[in-house]
Amino acid sequence: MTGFTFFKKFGWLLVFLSLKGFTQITISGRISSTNGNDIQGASITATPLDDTGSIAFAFSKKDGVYTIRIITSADSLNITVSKLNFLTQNRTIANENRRLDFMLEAGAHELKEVKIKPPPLRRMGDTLRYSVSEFASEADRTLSDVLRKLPGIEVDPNGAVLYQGKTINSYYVEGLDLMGGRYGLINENLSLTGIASVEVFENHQPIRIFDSLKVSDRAALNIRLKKRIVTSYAVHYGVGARPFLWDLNITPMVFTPQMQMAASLQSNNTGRNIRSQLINHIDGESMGGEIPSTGGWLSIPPLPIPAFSSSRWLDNRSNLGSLNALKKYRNELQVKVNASLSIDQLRQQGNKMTTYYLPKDTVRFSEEITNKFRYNTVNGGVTLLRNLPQKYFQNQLSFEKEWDAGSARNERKDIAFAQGLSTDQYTLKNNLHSVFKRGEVIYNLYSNSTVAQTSQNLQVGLRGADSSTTPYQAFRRKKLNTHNYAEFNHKIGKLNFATKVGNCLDFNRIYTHLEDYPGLSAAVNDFSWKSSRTYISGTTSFNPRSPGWFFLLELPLSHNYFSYHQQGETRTLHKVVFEPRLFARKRIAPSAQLIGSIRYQNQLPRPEDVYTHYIMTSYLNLVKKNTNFRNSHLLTGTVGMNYNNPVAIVLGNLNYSYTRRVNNLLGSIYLGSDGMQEIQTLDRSNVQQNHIVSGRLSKYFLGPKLTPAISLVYMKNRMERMLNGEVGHFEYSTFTPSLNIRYSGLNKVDLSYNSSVISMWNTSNTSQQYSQTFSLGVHPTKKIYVNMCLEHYRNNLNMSRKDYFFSDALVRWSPGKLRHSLEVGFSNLFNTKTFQTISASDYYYNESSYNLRPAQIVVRGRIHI
Amino acid sequence: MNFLFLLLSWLYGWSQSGKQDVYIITYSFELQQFESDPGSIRRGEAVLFSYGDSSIFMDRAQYVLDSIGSSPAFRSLERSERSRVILSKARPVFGYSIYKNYDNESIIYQESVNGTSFSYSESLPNISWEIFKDTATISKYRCQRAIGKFAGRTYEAWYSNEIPIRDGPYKLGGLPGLIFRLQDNEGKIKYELTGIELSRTAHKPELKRSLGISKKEFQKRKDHYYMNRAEYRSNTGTRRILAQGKEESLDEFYEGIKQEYLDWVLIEKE
Repeated sequence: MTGFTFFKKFGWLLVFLSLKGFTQITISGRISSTNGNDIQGASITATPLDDTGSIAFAFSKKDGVYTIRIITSADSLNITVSKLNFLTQNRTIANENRRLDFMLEAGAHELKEVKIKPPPLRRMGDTLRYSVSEFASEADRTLSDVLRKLPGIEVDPNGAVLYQGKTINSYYVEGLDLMGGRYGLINENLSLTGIASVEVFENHQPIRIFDSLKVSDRAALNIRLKKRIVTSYAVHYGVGARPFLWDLNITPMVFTPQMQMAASLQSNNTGRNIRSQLINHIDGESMGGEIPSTGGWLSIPPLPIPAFSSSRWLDNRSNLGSLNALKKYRNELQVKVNASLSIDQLRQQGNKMTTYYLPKDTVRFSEEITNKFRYNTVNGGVTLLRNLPQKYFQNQLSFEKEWDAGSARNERKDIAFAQGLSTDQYTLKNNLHSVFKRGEVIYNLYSNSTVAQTSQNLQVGLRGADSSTTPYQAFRRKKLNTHNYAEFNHKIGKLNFATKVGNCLDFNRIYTHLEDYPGLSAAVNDFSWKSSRTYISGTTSFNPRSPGWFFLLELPLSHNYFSYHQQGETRTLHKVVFEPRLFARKRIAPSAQLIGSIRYQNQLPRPEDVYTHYIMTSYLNLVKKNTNFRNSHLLTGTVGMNYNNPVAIVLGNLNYSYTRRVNNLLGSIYLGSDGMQEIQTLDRSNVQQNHIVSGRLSKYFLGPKLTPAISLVYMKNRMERMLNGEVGHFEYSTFTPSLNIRYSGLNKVDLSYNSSVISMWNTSNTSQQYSQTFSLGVHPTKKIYVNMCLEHYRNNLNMSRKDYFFSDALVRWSPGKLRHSLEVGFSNLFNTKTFQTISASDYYYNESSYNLRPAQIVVRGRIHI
Repeated sequence: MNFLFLLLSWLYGWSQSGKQDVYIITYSFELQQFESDPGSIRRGEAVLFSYGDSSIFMDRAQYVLDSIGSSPAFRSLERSERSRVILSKARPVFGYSIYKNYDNESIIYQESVNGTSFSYSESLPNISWEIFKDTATISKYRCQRAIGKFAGRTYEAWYSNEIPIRDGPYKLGGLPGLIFRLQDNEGKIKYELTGIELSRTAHKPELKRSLGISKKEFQKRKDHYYMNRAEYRSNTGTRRILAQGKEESLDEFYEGIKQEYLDWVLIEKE
């Protein structure tokens, strides 16, 4: 530094110091204890009187002597001497050189303890760990209460868990998968007291030998417990009024490193949807070509349900029993047994106004509707699993039997329909999967076999002003499906090659019989459907050393054969299709990654695509598909970004996807003035386009415990349809922004606010549905918890507007240490009787009014241990 | 030999202090691992056990593993069960422990290289901290900003007079209060205080029995180990190795270790 630049930089400071009267003073002295010992290592700090922070410091030496040099313009100074285990001393002195001795008195130093707490969100490699104690409030009892509060995690109304907007692919408790996809039972009943943290494994590959070999874009959830052995009991018993209400739940669970068990008995008629606890939210590995087992084709159309708590609308009598056990042996073999039974009765009442917008006409009708459904399901399975880093073996044998009955009355001014539907079906399935390594090659062998049978009967009683008929439809189906493949994975340098050879066979025998349909002679379909898909697929994945990149290229080539055979008629199709897919991922920062994929697919015929005689699929639909085989071409492109920063606790994502589908068949709908639909398919090429933009962002503020989250989804569909003989282009869009704020910063108060708008517009209509919910939970004393919730819904349909207000209240008294509590719950305090829901598609519009449960009160005892 | 004696006498002094209260101070840290990759951040928690005039600083995960290892309940477990417990715990990010003694102004640095525990002793760094008037409240404490240089890096520290412990993460300290936040000006080293607890019952870390050598000698041995890993390998007949999901020949693997070592971000540049 030259003299000139030195002067330029600091000269002004010297001038400034001399102008302001800055002087350097030296204070020295000795620090000793009251019993005369010299104190070493005491800190001496000098602070101006205006308390703008200390300006100089020093430490006392071995003999207790210190010297502190201070430059300041202040007239007086505070000198503070402190040392651990001595009381701090303060003295105010004039700004001048002097000697200053201190004698310190022994005493405990007051420490504002900052409790060691794990950070609320922590990242370890691909694992994100949420500390449950940070997000849970005192009122929370079960895992699901806190799960929906975690930033980045959502729980949908059916109980499916989503991370960054995508459903999870595995659910573990301490690394073990007890429930398969039916994790709702654990979520809804596992007591919070035993849970330490919730972990998210990003890009989770459930098969360990495929770790880092086969990527997944899905995450898994793992519940970490506080102790090695945790037992949890959820016991509820409740009674209520208007009408007589009951609510019972006994759900014990045990988790140890070697054994896990969850059992449950539940019964209620209070509107609590317990059947959703047994929904399987995880579909198996998506295997190119495995044809999902579709049940029956006949149905009673349900009333569209309101999008709020089921306790206000679900008129039910539900019973559930479930027993699940997992035992892990020393050789890592896991044996799992699951069995569940659900007996459920539902009732829906309301009315529905349907409007169809035809190219030249509008059809509108309105009905009073009463639906009664009985769903009875029993399912179970035995699973053997060995999931090691060098070897994977799984065999799962499962069965499901369902017997349902439904009845409905739909009344219009001049006509009434009575419907009765019975369904009886079973599925038996065995799934064998083995992966092992020999030399340099990883072998992946898979075999799945399914046998299913469905039987349905639909009877519709149609009573008009001057006529009455009772058409009857029978449907029988037997199905055998097998899917087998062998895959060979080989690694050369940074490239991984997988070659897969497989075959999927599907045999169906379908019989349908329609009689007494007005204006039709009896219609019988009796056909066999066979399909065989033989494929060979090459997959290359590339994991370059340059950090963060990953590529995957799939090149499957398949030969497909379809045969439809009905007496006197056989149709066959041979088709070779090539369906490439490219996926790329790049980590652009420790917290952010970009993903992109492009895929070309064919949608090939299915059994439900061809039948030459009419089937009455519901009381208003008469369908016949006497056309060519379906062959649609789909092109899908996706780009997106995921962001999660565990330090700032910000999680978000933004995705865009585009699908273009070219169909060789066009659905043609003939609508009668009474809403009866006759559906056929025509050989006519048409294009369908779909755009989806979705994004969400949430941030957790550590101090105030505040979580604001925003999300938006925009969707636009454009397609061609033939309505009453005229071809038209139809468009349908929805836009759904929403805002959610949670606050639990005050010790005894929990606040949450939710607001969303669903805007829909199709070719001829627009509507908005606004919703706002506000919930306040307060602990006025340690033992009492009060929760109030207020909800407002507004439906704007063209020019009309309807407002709905709801309020629920809960008072809970928790007397003892047993986590036993007694609560009184009031629901629908304003006794709102009906609620209007709107649903729409490109060419129709439904407004339905759903009869709600009346205002009611339930007294419940709850034990969560 | 002299060193070992010194170490043992220090250890004796240490076990005396083990009876008193200890302040358990936890820091979360973010340390950049490689100079060439700003994204190579390693996160974790460190713990500082302070007795006022002396302290031990180590990776919290290491402390957890050490305290499990010394518990009789753990020792009575079967081998497979023990490894299950160990594997379920977080892995430490760094392996060294730093023992500061403010009374005799010395530091003992302990780290294992290839299974042998080494330690060296040096004087406490004399950091000339410049303090500023900026203040902020961190974890309920009023903190003040200071800037100082240590071993070739410039650090910004936020310390609080309210806790008269002149200590902080790694070898840093010497401010008239505990360091709550520490960050170097290149953004490669970050510490933030996450907890303070006063305890009499917590398991107290002990100085590991180690071979005392000079700092220069220690650095020489560490360099030699990472730069010539192949020499330290016991011959198991392995030809190829799977590292981070990629299969490599042993030569490639050892060259990779060397290149990574040369690219390490060093806390002490000088």
